[in-house]
Amino acid sequence: MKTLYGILIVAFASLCAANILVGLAPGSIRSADWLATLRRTTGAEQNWSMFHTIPRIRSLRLRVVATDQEGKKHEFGPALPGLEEIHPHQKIRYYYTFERLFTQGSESYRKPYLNALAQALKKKNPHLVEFSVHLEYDTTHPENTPQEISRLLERIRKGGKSTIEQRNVFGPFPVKNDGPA
Amino acid sequence: MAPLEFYRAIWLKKTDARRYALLRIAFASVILIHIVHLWPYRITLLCSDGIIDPQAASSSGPGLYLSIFALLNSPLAVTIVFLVATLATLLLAWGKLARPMLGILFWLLLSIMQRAPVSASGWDFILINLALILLFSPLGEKWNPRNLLLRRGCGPELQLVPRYGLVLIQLQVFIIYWQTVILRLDNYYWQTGDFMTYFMLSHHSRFPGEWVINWQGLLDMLTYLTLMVELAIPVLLWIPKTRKAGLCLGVAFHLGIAIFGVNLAIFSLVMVITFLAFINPWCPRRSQGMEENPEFQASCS
Repeated sequence: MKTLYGILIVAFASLCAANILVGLAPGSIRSADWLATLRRTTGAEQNWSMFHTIPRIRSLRLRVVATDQEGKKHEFGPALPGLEEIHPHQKIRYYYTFERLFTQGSESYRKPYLNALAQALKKKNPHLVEFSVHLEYDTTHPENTPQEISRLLERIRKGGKSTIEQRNVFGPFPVKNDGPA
Repeated sequence: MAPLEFYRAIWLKKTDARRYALLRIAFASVILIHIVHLWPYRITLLCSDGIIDPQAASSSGPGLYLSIFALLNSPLAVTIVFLVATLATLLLAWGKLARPMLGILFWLLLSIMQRAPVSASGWDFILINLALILLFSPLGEKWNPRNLLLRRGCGPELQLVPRYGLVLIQLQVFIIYWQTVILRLDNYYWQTGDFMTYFMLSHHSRFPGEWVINWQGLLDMLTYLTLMVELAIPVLLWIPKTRKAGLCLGVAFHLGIAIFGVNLAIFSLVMVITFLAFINPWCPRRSQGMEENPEFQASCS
Protein backbone atom coordinates (compact mmCIF):
# COMPACT_ATOMS: atom_id res chain seq x y z
CA MET A 1 0.00 0.00 0.00
CA LYS A 2 2.82 2.34 1.01
CA THR A 3 4.72 1.48 -2.19
CA LEU A 4 1.66 2.11 -4.34
CA TYR A 5 1.13 5.46 -2.59
CA GLY A 6 4.76 6.34 -3.31
CA ILE A 7 4.42 5.38 -6.98
CA LEU A 8 1.25 7.47 -7.32
CA ILE A 9 2.95 10.48 -5.74
CA VAL A 10 6.00 10.20 -7.99
CA ALA A 11 3.77 9.79 -11.07
CA PHE A 12 1.61 12.81 -10.16
CA ALA A 13 4.62 14.95 -9.28
CA SER A 14 6.39 13.97 -12.52
CA LEU A 15 3.35 14.93 -14.61
CA CYS A 16 2.99 18.26 -12.83
CA ALA A 17 6.71 18.96 -13.14
CA ALA A 18 6.62 18.12 -16.87
CA ASN A 19 3.72 20.53 -17.36
CA ILE A 20 5.54 23.28 -15.46
CA LEU A 21 8.84 22.69 -17.28
CA VAL A 22 7.17 22.81 -20.70
CA GLY A 23 6.86 26.52 -19.91
CA LEU A 24 10.50 26.84 -20.99
CA ALA A 25 10.12 24.60 -24.05
CA PRO A 26 9.94 25.90 -27.66
CA GLY A 27 6.59 27.35 -28.75
CA SER A 28 5.54 24.35 -30.89
CA ILE A 29 5.61 22.00 -27.89
CA ARG A 30 4.11 24.64 -25.59
CA SER A 31 1.14 25.19 -27.88
CA ALA A 32 0.36 21.53 -28.72
CA ASP A 33 -3.41 20.94 -28.95
CA TRP A 34 -3.58 18.09 -26.43
CA LEU A 35 -1.61 20.13 -23.90
CA ALA A 36 -3.81 23.19 -24.41
CA THR A 37 -6.89 20.99 -23.87
CA LEU A 38 -5.50 19.50 -20.68
CA ARG A 39 -4.37 22.87 -19.37
CA ARG A 40 -7.66 24.62 -20.02
CA THR A 41 -9.58 21.83 -18.33
CA THR A 42 -7.37 21.91 -15.23
CA GLY A 43 -6.45 25.60 -15.28
CA ALA A 44 -2.76 24.64 -15.28
CA GLU A 45 -1.67 27.06 -18.02
CA GLN A 46 1.94 28.14 -18.01
CA ASN A 47 2.12 31.46 -19.79
CA TRP A 48 4.22 33.85 -17.78
CA SER A 49 4.46 36.84 -20.09
CA MET A 50 3.87 39.57 -17.50
CA PHE A 51 5.06 42.92 -18.86
CA HIS A 52 6.90 41.31 -21.75
CA THR A 53 6.61 44.70 -23.46
CA ILE A 54 5.82 48.26 -22.36
CA PRO A 55 2.35 49.27 -21.19
CA ARG A 56 1.33 52.04 -23.59
CA ILE A 57 -1.83 53.40 -22.01
CA ARG A 58 -1.90 56.11 -19.33
CA SER A 59 -5.66 56.24 -18.98
CA LEU A 60 -8.69 54.63 -20.58
CA ARG A 61 -12.25 55.98 -20.70
CA LEU A 62 -15.28 54.24 -22.14
CA ARG A 63 -18.63 55.77 -22.99
CA VAL A 64 -21.73 54.50 -24.71
CA VAL A 65 -23.39 57.31 -26.65
CA ALA A 66 -26.94 56.63 -27.82
CA THR A 67 -29.23 58.77 -29.96
CA ASP A 68 -33.01 58.91 -29.60
CA GLN A 69 -35.67 59.41 -32.29
CA GLU A 70 -35.33 63.21 -32.05
CA GLY A 71 -31.56 63.12 -32.50
CA LYS A 72 -30.82 63.88 -28.85
CA LYS A 73 -27.72 62.22 -27.45
CA HIS A 74 -27.71 60.22 -24.22
CA GLU A 75 -24.59 58.95 -22.45
CA PHE A 76 -24.26 55.68 -20.54
CA GLY A 77 -21.57 53.59 -18.96
CA PRO A 78 -20.36 50.40 -20.69
CA ALA A 79 -20.89 47.96 -17.79
CA LEU A 80 -23.65 45.38 -18.06
CA PRO A 81 -26.34 44.65 -17.02
CA GLY A 82 -27.09 48.15 -15.70
CA LEU A 83 -25.03 50.38 -18.08
CA GLU A 84 -23.05 51.71 -15.11
CA GLU A 85 -19.92 53.80 -15.54
CA ILE A 86 -16.61 52.06 -14.98
CA HIS A 87 -13.24 53.32 -13.81
CA PRO A 88 -10.57 51.11 -15.37
CA HIS A 89 -7.74 52.75 -13.41
CA GLN A 90 -9.25 51.78 -10.06
CA LYS A 91 -10.80 48.53 -11.25
CA ILE A 92 -8.02 46.90 -13.21
CA ARG A 93 -10.12 43.98 -14.47
CA TYR A 94 -12.31 46.39 -16.44
CA TYR A 95 -9.16 47.69 -18.07
CA TYR A 96 -8.10 44.14 -19.07
CA THR A 97 -11.63 43.26 -20.17
CA PHE A 98 -12.29 46.25 -22.43
CA GLU A 99 -8.74 46.44 -23.77
CA ARG A 100 -9.04 42.79 -24.88
CA LEU A 101 -12.67 43.12 -25.98
CA PHE A 102 -11.85 45.92 -28.42
CA THR A 103 -8.63 44.54 -29.89
CA GLN A 104 -8.47 42.49 -33.06
CA GLY A 105 -9.22 38.80 -32.60
CA SER A 106 -11.82 39.30 -29.88
CA GLU A 107 -14.84 39.47 -32.20
CA SER A 108 -16.37 36.38 -30.58
CA TYR A 109 -16.65 38.36 -27.33
CA ARG A 110 -17.24 41.81 -28.84
CA LYS A 111 -20.27 40.94 -31.00
CA PRO A 112 -22.34 39.38 -28.18
CA TYR A 113 -21.31 42.29 -25.92
CA LEU A 114 -22.65 44.81 -28.46
CA ASN A 115 -25.84 42.74 -28.80
CA ALA A 116 -26.32 42.75 -25.04
CA LEU A 117 -25.58 46.49 -24.97
CA ALA A 118 -28.28 47.13 -27.60
CA GLN A 119 -30.81 45.19 -25.54
CA ALA A 120 -29.84 46.92 -22.29
CA LEU A 121 -30.23 50.34 -23.99
CA LYS A 122 -33.65 49.40 -25.35
CA LYS A 123 -34.71 48.34 -21.86
CA LYS A 124 -33.39 51.57 -20.38
CA ASN A 125 -34.99 53.88 -22.92
CA PRO A 126 -37.31 52.52 -25.65
CA HIS A 127 -36.93 55.77 -27.67
CA LEU A 128 -33.25 55.21 -28.42
CA VAL A 129 -32.52 54.28 -32.02
CA GLU A 130 -28.77 53.86 -32.34
CA PHE A 131 -25.60 53.83 -30.26
CA SER A 132 -21.84 53.78 -30.50
CA VAL A 133 -19.07 52.83 -28.10
CA HIS A 134 -16.37 55.46 -27.57
CA LEU A 135 -12.95 54.38 -26.39
CA GLU A 136 -10.78 57.32 -25.40
CA TYR A 137 -7.30 56.74 -24.15
CA ASP A 138 -4.10 58.59 -23.47
CA THR A 139 -1.22 56.61 -24.85
CA THR A 140 2.48 57.20 -24.55
CA HIS A 141 3.02 55.81 -27.98
CA PRO A 142 0.39 55.27 -30.66
CA GLU A 143 2.69 53.51 -33.11
CA ASN A 144 4.72 50.46 -32.26
CA THR A 145 8.07 51.53 -33.66
CA PRO A 146 11.25 52.18 -31.72
CA GLN A 147 12.03 55.33 -33.73
CA GLU A 148 8.76 56.91 -32.68
CA ILE A 149 9.49 56.01 -29.10
CA SER A 150 12.81 57.82 -29.02
CA ARG A 151 11.23 60.86 -30.64
CA LEU A 152 8.50 60.77 -28.01
CA LEU A 153 11.01 60.80 -25.17
CA GLU A 154 12.83 63.67 -26.91
CA ARG A 155 9.56 65.57 -27.17
CA ILE A 156 8.85 65.11 -23.47
CA ARG A 157 12.34 66.39 -22.66
CA LYS A 158 11.58 69.53 -24.68
CA GLY A 159 8.47 70.14 -22.57
CA GLY A 160 5.89 68.31 -24.65
CA LYS A 161 3.12 66.07 -23.37
CA SER A 162 4.02 62.50 -22.50
CA THR A 163 0.83 61.09 -23.88
CA ILE A 164 -1.26 61.49 -27.00
CA GLU A 165 -5.04 61.27 -26.83
CA GLN A 166 -6.62 58.75 -29.16
CA ARG A 167 -10.28 58.03 -29.82
CA ASN A 168 -11.79 54.92 -31.33
CA VAL A 169 -15.48 54.86 -32.06
CA PHE A 170 -17.27 51.56 -32.67
CA GLY A 171 -20.64 51.98 -34.32
CA PRO A 172 -23.22 53.32 -34.85
CA PHE A 173 -25.29 50.22 -34.17
CA PRO A 174 -29.09 50.05 -34.08
CA VAL A 175 -30.78 49.78 -30.69
CA LYS A 176 -33.16 46.85 -30.89
CA ASN A 177 -34.16 43.84 -28.88
CA ASP A 178 -31.97 41.41 -30.76
CA GLY A 179 -29.01 43.83 -30.83
CA PRO A 180 -26.91 45.15 -33.75
CA ALA A 181 -26.80 43.09 -36.93
CA MET B 1 22.55 6.65 -4.81
CA ALA B 2 21.02 5.00 -7.88
CA PRO B 3 19.37 7.45 -10.32
CA LEU B 4 15.91 6.01 -9.73
CA GLU B 5 16.34 6.21 -5.97
CA PHE B 6 17.62 9.77 -6.31
CA TYR B 7 14.61 10.73 -8.44
CA ARG B 8 12.26 9.13 -5.91
CA ALA B 9 13.95 11.01 -3.08
CA ILE B 10 13.40 14.34 -4.86
CA TRP B 11 9.67 13.92 -4.32
CA LEU B 12 9.32 11.57 -1.37
CA LYS B 13 11.94 12.80 1.08
CA LYS B 14 10.25 13.70 4.33
CA THR B 15 9.74 17.20 5.62
CA ASP B 16 7.98 18.88 8.52
CA ALA B 17 4.18 19.01 8.03
CA ARG B 18 4.17 22.51 9.53
CA ARG B 19 5.74 23.83 6.32
CA TYR B 20 2.62 22.76 4.43
CA ALA B 21 0.41 24.13 7.19
CA LEU B 22 2.09 27.54 6.92
CA LEU B 23 1.68 27.52 3.15
CA ARG B 24 -1.96 26.43 3.48
CA ILE B 25 -2.77 29.27 5.89
CA ALA B 26 -0.97 31.83 3.70
CA PHE B 27 -2.70 30.53 0.57
CA ALA B 28 -6.12 30.72 2.24
CA SER B 29 -5.41 34.30 3.34
CA VAL B 30 -4.43 35.38 -0.17
CA ILE B 31 -7.50 33.69 -1.67
CA LEU B 32 -9.64 35.62 0.81
CA ILE B 33 -8.03 38.89 -0.37
CA HIS B 34 -8.57 37.75 -3.96
CA ILE B 35 -12.28 37.12 -3.29
CA VAL B 36 -12.61 40.59 -1.72
CA HIS B 37 -10.89 42.02 -4.84
CA LEU B 38 -13.29 40.13 -7.15
CA TRP B 39 -16.44 41.02 -5.20
CA PRO B 40 -17.25 44.28 -7.11
CA TYR B 41 -16.83 42.49 -10.46
CA ARG B 42 -18.95 39.45 -9.72
CA ILE B 43 -22.18 40.71 -11.36
CA THR B 44 -20.68 42.41 -14.40
CA LEU B 45 -18.18 39.68 -15.26
CA LEU B 46 -19.72 36.42 -14.04
CA CYS B 47 -23.51 36.74 -14.45
CA SER B 48 -25.27 35.65 -17.64
CA ASP B 49 -26.39 39.19 -18.52
CA GLY B 50 -22.99 40.71 -17.78
CA ILE B 51 -20.25 41.96 -20.10
CA ILE B 52 -18.95 38.55 -21.13
CA ASP B 53 -21.22 36.30 -23.15
CA PRO B 54 -21.48 32.82 -21.55
CA GLN B 55 -21.47 31.06 -24.92
CA ALA B 56 -18.40 32.93 -26.13
CA ALA B 57 -16.62 31.98 -22.89
CA SER B 58 -17.58 28.30 -23.04
CA SER B 59 -16.45 27.94 -26.65
CA SER B 60 -13.34 30.13 -26.41
CA GLY B 61 -10.83 27.29 -26.38
CA PRO B 62 -10.22 23.56 -26.24
CA GLY B 63 -10.91 21.46 -23.16
CA LEU B 64 -13.84 20.92 -20.86
CA TYR B 65 -15.84 23.89 -19.66
CA LEU B 66 -16.30 23.20 -15.96
CA SER B 67 -17.28 26.64 -14.72
CA ILE B 68 -19.84 26.60 -11.94
CA PHE B 69 -21.14 29.86 -13.40
CA ALA B 70 -22.59 27.89 -16.31
CA LEU B 71 -25.18 26.64 -13.81
CA LEU B 72 -25.28 29.44 -11.26
CA ASN B 73 -25.36 32.68 -13.22
CA SER B 74 -27.88 35.01 -11.58
CA PRO B 75 -26.63 37.83 -9.31
CA LEU B 76 -27.97 36.06 -6.21
CA ALA B 77 -26.46 32.69 -7.15
CA VAL B 78 -23.05 34.22 -7.95
CA THR B 79 -23.12 36.11 -4.64
CA ILE B 80 -23.90 32.86 -2.79
CA VAL B 81 -20.98 31.14 -4.56
CA PHE B 82 -18.70 33.94 -3.35
CA LEU B 83 -19.99 33.65 0.21
CA VAL B 84 -19.48 29.87 0.20
CA ALA B 85 -15.94 30.40 -1.12
CA THR B 86 -15.27 32.92 1.65
CA LEU B 87 -16.35 30.35 4.23
CA ALA B 88 -14.15 27.76 2.51
CA THR B 89 -11.07 30.01 2.84
CA LEU B 90 -11.70 30.41 6.58
CA LEU B 91 -12.12 26.66 7.08
CA LEU B 92 -9.06 25.97 4.94
CA ALA B 93 -6.96 28.36 7.02
CA TRP B 94 -8.22 26.68 10.19
CA GLY B 95 -7.51 23.20 8.82
CA LYS B 96 -11.11 22.02 9.03
CA LEU B 97 -12.08 19.79 6.07
CA ALA B 98 -9.02 21.30 4.42
CA ARG B 99 -8.95 19.20 1.26
CA PRO B 100 -12.67 19.55 0.36
CA MET B 101 -12.36 23.29 1.05
CA LEU B 102 -9.33 23.49 -1.21
CA GLY B 103 -11.34 21.60 -3.82
CA ILE B 104 -14.10 24.21 -3.60
CA LEU B 105 -11.59 27.05 -3.95
CA PHE B 106 -9.85 25.36 -6.89
CA TRP B 107 -13.22 25.01 -8.61
CA LEU B 108 -13.98 28.69 -7.93
CA LEU B 109 -10.65 29.79 -9.44
CA LEU B 110 -11.15 27.52 -12.46
CA SER B 111 -14.74 28.72 -12.86
CA ILE B 112 -13.71 32.38 -12.87
CA MET B 113 -10.88 31.71 -15.31
CA GLN B 114 -13.14 29.82 -17.73
CA ARG B 115 -16.12 32.17 -17.37
CA ALA B 116 -14.16 35.42 -17.80
CA PRO B 117 -10.91 34.60 -19.62
CA VAL B 118 -10.67 38.11 -21.12
CA SER B 119 -10.63 39.59 -17.62
CA ALA B 120 -7.87 37.35 -16.25
CA SER B 121 -4.79 38.83 -14.63
CA GLY B 122 -1.37 37.23 -14.13
CA TRP B 123 -1.99 36.31 -10.51
CA ASP B 124 -5.13 34.33 -11.43
CA PHE B 125 -2.89 31.87 -13.27
CA ILE B 126 -0.44 31.65 -10.37
CA LEU B 127 -3.20 31.05 -7.82
CA ILE B 128 -4.86 28.30 -9.83
CA ASN B 129 -1.54 26.51 -10.40
CA LEU B 130 -0.79 26.71 -6.67
CA ALA B 131 -4.28 25.43 -5.86
CA LEU B 132 -3.86 22.47 -8.19
CA ILE B 133 -0.53 21.50 -6.59
CA LEU B 134 -1.84 21.93 -3.03
CA LEU B 135 -5.00 19.96 -3.84
CA PHE B 136 -2.87 16.80 -4.14
CA SER B 137 -0.28 17.67 -1.47
CA PRO B 138 -0.12 17.21 2.29
CA LEU B 139 -1.79 20.17 3.97
CA GLY B 140 -0.68 19.90 7.60
CA GLU B 141 -4.34 20.24 8.53
CA LYS B 142 -3.76 19.37 12.17
CA TRP B 143 -2.12 22.75 12.56
CA ASN B 144 -4.18 25.93 12.70
CA PRO B 145 -3.18 29.61 12.99
CA ARG B 146 -3.65 29.42 16.76
CA ASN B 147 -1.28 26.55 17.51
CA LEU B 148 1.09 27.21 14.61
CA LEU B 149 1.50 30.99 14.48
CA LEU B 150 0.41 32.10 17.97
CA ARG B 151 1.74 28.92 19.64
CA ARG B 152 -1.31 28.75 21.88
CA GLY B 153 -3.12 25.64 22.95
CA CYS B 154 -1.87 22.13 22.60
CA GLY B 155 -0.27 21.56 19.18
CA PRO B 156 -0.41 18.16 17.47
CA GLU B 157 2.54 15.81 17.43
CA LEU B 158 5.25 16.56 14.89
CA GLN B 159 4.58 14.82 11.63
CA LEU B 160 6.86 14.14 8.67
CA VAL B 161 5.31 14.09 5.20
CA PRO B 162 6.65 13.83 1.61
CA ARG B 163 7.94 17.09 0.23
CA TYR B 164 6.70 16.79 -3.40
CA GLY B 165 4.16 19.63 -3.07
CA LEU B 166 6.85 22.03 -1.90
CA VAL B 167 9.26 20.91 -4.64
CA LEU B 168 6.57 21.46 -7.29
CA ILE B 169 5.89 24.98 -6.00
CA GLN B 170 9.64 25.69 -5.98
CA LEU B 171 9.79 24.54 -9.59
CA GLN B 172 6.80 26.73 -10.42
CA VAL B 173 8.56 29.75 -8.93
CA PHE B 174 11.63 29.07 -11.07
CA ILE B 175 9.55 28.85 -14.24
CA ILE B 176 7.44 31.94 -13.47
CA TYR B 177 10.52 34.13 -13.09
CA TRP B 178 12.66 32.56 -15.77
CA GLN B 179 10.05 32.32 -18.49
CA THR B 180 9.16 35.95 -17.86
CA VAL B 181 12.80 36.98 -18.32
CA ILE B 182 13.34 34.78 -21.39
CA LEU B 183 10.27 36.25 -23.12
CA ARG B 184 11.49 39.77 -22.39
CA LEU B 185 14.96 39.24 -23.78
CA ASP B 186 13.89 39.75 -27.40
CA ASN B 187 11.77 42.81 -26.63
CA TYR B 188 13.14 46.16 -27.81
CA TYR B 189 12.18 48.12 -24.69
CA TRP B 190 13.81 45.65 -22.33
CA GLN B 191 16.92 45.51 -24.52
CA THR B 192 17.33 49.30 -24.59
CA GLY B 193 16.45 49.73 -20.94
CA ASP B 194 13.46 51.96 -21.82
CA PHE B 195 10.93 49.64 -20.17
CA MET B 196 10.92 51.19 -16.71
CA THR B 197 10.55 54.74 -18.10
CA TYR B 198 7.45 53.71 -20.01
CA PHE B 199 6.12 51.68 -17.11
CA MET B 200 6.35 54.77 -14.91
CA LEU B 201 4.54 56.82 -17.57
CA SER B 202 1.70 54.29 -17.85
CA HIS B 203 -1.52 53.70 -15.90
CA HIS B 204 0.30 50.99 -13.93
CA SER B 205 2.45 53.65 -12.23
CA ARG B 206 1.42 55.05 -8.88
CA PHE B 207 3.18 58.34 -9.70
CA PRO B 208 2.82 58.79 -13.47
CA GLY B 209 4.20 61.96 -14.98
CA GLU B 210 6.89 63.62 -17.06
CA TRP B 211 9.27 63.59 -14.06
CA VAL B 212 10.50 60.17 -15.16
CA ILE B 213 12.37 61.68 -18.10
CA ASN B 214 14.85 63.31 -15.70
CA TRP B 215 15.53 59.92 -14.13
CA GLN B 216 15.87 57.94 -17.32
CA GLY B 217 19.47 56.86 -16.64
CA LEU B 218 18.47 55.40 -13.28
CA LEU B 219 15.32 53.84 -14.74
CA ASP B 220 17.40 52.22 -17.52
CA MET B 221 19.55 50.62 -14.84
CA LEU B 222 16.44 49.53 -12.95
CA THR B 223 15.16 47.82 -16.10
CA TYR B 224 18.28 45.65 -16.33
CA LEU B 225 18.37 45.19 -12.57
CA THR B 226 14.79 43.87 -12.67
CA LEU B 227 15.80 41.14 -15.12
CA MET B 228 18.81 40.18 -12.99
CA VAL B 229 16.78 40.14 -9.78
CA GLU B 230 14.10 37.95 -11.38
CA LEU B 231 16.73 35.47 -12.53
CA ALA B 232 18.42 35.49 -9.12
CA ILE B 233 15.44 35.21 -6.73
CA PRO B 234 14.63 31.49 -7.28
CA VAL B 235 18.32 30.50 -7.32
CA LEU B 236 19.05 32.38 -4.09
CA LEU B 237 15.94 30.91 -2.48
CA TRP B 238 16.90 27.41 -3.54
CA ILE B 239 20.45 27.41 -2.15
CA PRO B 240 20.25 27.04 1.67
CA LYS B 241 23.17 29.38 2.34
CA THR B 242 21.68 32.23 0.29
CA ARG B 243 18.05 31.60 1.26
CA LYS B 244 17.79 34.56 3.63
CA ALA B 245 19.31 36.86 1.01
CA GLY B 246 16.85 35.48 -1.59
CA LEU B 247 13.95 36.02 0.76
CA CYS B 248 14.99 39.61 1.53
CA LEU B 249 15.61 40.36 -2.15
CA GLY B 250 12.33 38.78 -3.23
CA VAL B 251 10.24 40.54 -0.59
CA ALA B 252 11.94 43.89 -1.29
CA PHE B 253 11.43 43.45 -5.05
CA HIS B 254 7.73 42.69 -4.70
CA LEU B 255 7.26 45.41 -2.11
CA GLY B 256 8.75 47.81 -4.67
CA ILE B 257 6.31 46.58 -7.31
CA ALA B 258 3.38 47.01 -4.89
CA ILE B 259 4.49 50.54 -3.93
CA PHE B 260 5.40 51.92 -7.36
CA GLY B 261 2.76 49.97 -9.29
CA VAL B 262 -1.00 50.31 -9.07
CA ASN B 263 -3.20 47.22 -8.83
CA LEU B 264 -0.18 44.94 -8.46
CA ALA B 265 -0.29 44.37 -4.69
CA ILE B 266 -2.14 41.05 -4.94
CA PHE B 267 0.31 39.82 -7.54
CA SER B 268 3.19 40.71 -5.21
CA LEU B 269 1.49 39.02 -2.28
CA VAL B 270 0.88 35.85 -4.28
CA MET B 271 4.54 35.69 -5.31
CA VAL B 272 5.74 36.28 -1.75
CA ILE B 273 3.66 33.38 -0.40
CA THR B 274 5.26 31.05 -2.95
CA PHE B 275 8.58 31.77 -1.21
CA LEU B 276 7.24 29.83 1.80
CA ALA B 277 7.81 26.64 -0.19
CA PHE B 278 11.57 27.29 0.12
CA ILE B 279 11.88 28.15 3.78
CA ASN B 280 11.62 26.05 6.89
CA PRO B 281 11.30 28.12 10.05
CA TRP B 282 11.32 24.91 12.13
CA CYS B 283 14.60 23.54 10.87
CA PRO B 284 16.62 22.78 14.03
CA ARG B 285 19.87 24.67 14.36
CA ARG B 286 23.18 23.14 15.33
CA SER B 287 23.04 25.00 18.63
CA GLN B 288 19.88 23.10 19.49
CA GLY B 289 21.78 19.82 19.31
CA MET B 290 19.32 18.19 16.95
CA GLU B 291 21.74 17.29 14.19
CA GLU B 292 22.01 13.66 15.29
CA ASN B 293 18.30 13.10 14.83
CA PRO B 294 17.88 11.88 11.23
CA GLU B 295 14.16 12.64 11.15
CA PHE B 296 14.73 16.25 12.10
CA GLN B 297 17.57 16.50 9.62
CA ALA B 298 15.23 15.19 6.96
CA SER B 299 12.75 17.88 7.83
CA CYS B 300 15.38 20.50 6.96
CA SER B 301 15.74 19.26 3.41
